Amino acid sequence: MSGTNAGEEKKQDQGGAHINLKDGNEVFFRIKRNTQLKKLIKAYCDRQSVDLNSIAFLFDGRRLGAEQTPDELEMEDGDEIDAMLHQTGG
Amino acid sequence: MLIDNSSAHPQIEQLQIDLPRQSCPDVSSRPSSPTPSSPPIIPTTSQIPTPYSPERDPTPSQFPTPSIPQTIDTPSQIPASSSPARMPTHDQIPSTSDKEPSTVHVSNSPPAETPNWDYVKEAIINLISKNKFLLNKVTSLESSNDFLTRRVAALEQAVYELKEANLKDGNVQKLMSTENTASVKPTETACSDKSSSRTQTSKKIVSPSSVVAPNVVEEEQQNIQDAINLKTNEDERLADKQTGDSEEEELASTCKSGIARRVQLRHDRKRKFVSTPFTTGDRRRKKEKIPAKKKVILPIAEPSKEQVPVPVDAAPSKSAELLPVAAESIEVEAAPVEAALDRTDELLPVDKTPIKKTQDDQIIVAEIDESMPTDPQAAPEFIDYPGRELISVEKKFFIDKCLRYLKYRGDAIFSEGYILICRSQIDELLLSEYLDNNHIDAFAMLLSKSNEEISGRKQPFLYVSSFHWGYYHHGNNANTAHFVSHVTRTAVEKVNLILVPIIHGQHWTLLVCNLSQKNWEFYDSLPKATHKAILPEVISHLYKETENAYDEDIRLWPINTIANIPTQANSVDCGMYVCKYMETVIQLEQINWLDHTNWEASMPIFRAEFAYALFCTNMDLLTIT
Repeated sequence: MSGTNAGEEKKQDQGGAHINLKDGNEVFFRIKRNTQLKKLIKAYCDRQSVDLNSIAFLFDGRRLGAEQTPDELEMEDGDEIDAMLHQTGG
Repeated sequence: MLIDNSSAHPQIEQLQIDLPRQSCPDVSSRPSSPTPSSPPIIPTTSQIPTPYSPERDPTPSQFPTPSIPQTIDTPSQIPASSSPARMPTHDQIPSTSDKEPSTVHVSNSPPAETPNWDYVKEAIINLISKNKFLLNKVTSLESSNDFLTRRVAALEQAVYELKEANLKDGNVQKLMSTENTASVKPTETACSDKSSSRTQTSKKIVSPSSVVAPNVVEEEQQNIQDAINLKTNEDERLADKQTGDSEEEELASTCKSGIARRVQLRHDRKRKFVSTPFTTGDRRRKKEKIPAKKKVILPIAEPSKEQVPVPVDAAPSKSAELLPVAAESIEVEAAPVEAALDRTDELLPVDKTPIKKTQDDQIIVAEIDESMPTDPQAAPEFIDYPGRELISVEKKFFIDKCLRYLKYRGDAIFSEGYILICRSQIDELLLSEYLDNNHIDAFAMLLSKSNEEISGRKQPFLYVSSFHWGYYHHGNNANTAHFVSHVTRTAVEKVNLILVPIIHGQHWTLLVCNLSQKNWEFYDSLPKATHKAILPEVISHLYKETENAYDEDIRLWPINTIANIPTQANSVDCGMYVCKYMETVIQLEQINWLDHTNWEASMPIFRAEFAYALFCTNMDLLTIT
């Protein structure tokens, strides 16, 4: 939505995965394949200075659970994750 | 009246406890006197039941509570009971203040059941539908439980295998050390400890040894023994020199085989190494990662270690300088032999970062800190939301209970596909704040779920999330096709309506595609021409990605703005209005919007009931006590 477009790329080596944030530019995060994605989410939110709960991270159209890991989601190198800022209205 | 204090005292105390439960202070009751300990409770002229009266409790005929006529009387007795003199006057009811509230409570329930059959019927229907839903939930949970148990079993198996493997490794290690120096076991173990600590602190030293090791070990066992002794001394000396601390020298010399001391020393040594100008950040990271792996490899490297000390000993003062040099040369040697595993670790990040940079100049690489705390934010235990006093007591208590149970803002309540409702969003919902995409999507999800459970009560519909257009509208060539993947030709044939909520400029509106009448309906709770301006774009984007689902070009259908719909008077409720529009338009009956006038005042109720419905989807919350 008014959100950012975050693509994440996972690295398949024992430790690393990379996130790629796109909102005009890209940011790669490195994350272990067995690390819970909440670390990644928090890092992104801190970087963007937005509330944790105000962004939806979608992978293949499904919402990412904070407790999930790249391994669980069977992410592969080059996979992208979309980050969407919720839009509120009244 | 006149009873020995000594004997009466315990009796009366017991009696006071029994009173509330006691059925009937009957004939067997004896007079008793007030004791000094409880003057206000026991009246002067009272007849107080004997302590053994509780034994008669079980006799049902004497039990006053079940009989309604008696309990109905009780309310009149409430004031009387406060004066102690009344207590004994009622033969049948031991009217203590403890007793009466409960009887009053009982007496209240029967009048509530006065037959309002419609209400009862509705309640029963509600219960049945809820029951059905819960049954479905139970079956799905059971299946997932099966899956999880299987998974747990698999994991346990894996853990067991790993343990076995570890044990084997340990055995091999022991075996090797005993074989190499059969006679000098204690020193050998000390040495192995040392070498392992050594490798952790500076793997560079170890790696050369590992290369040289196999050949040398085979040559002479006796020399090795000597070398071990020599080596231990030298190692200590080395450590002392590195730390440059005289106290530690003493420490090391006093406890040659003390593993704990070595570990202590190791820390300092490590720090020293890290700070040398030759060690780079990369290497430091490698070092931290490696110990676990290295340990496994070590046994092979151990024996060789003994040979190394000699050259090091020759120039002990230079050891610090030599190390980096040695490290570099060693790395080349060691890499092909055993450090291949480590190498992949080290090299990959180095390789990949530059690759990325060639792709895009603006790339920022950020490392996820494993130790970074992710403390959940606490949420208030209690919320006095506007609708709290307007909903039924049962719902109110349930919501309060859930709010107490969900302690953190991030606690998830409802999760389905891309929708996630967590505690913070419930707070927004209850406290009359703006609603976001998840709220609206969750509401539609609940609608379609209830549609599935009881088909035929509402019109079947398809729902397209506001993300679909909103995300596209925001740009970035976003892929939004997965939001409409369910809008297929077969699905469209089965429904009359496609609901498309839209959020634009912080305002929620609802667009409905009426497939039977071949037109678009637009619901705007804050009617404005600008809200309509974006509709063609929304429709064409929807059509573009679901083109195959329709027989006609839906972009050509007229857009009717529905008039006389309830509208909002404040600036926060539009999201809730969109929810209510959706709920209303899927009704089977012809909608007369004039019947729906008083939405504004009911918004707090709608919000609270929505929150209640969300809580009801969560099995954990339904089972909390």
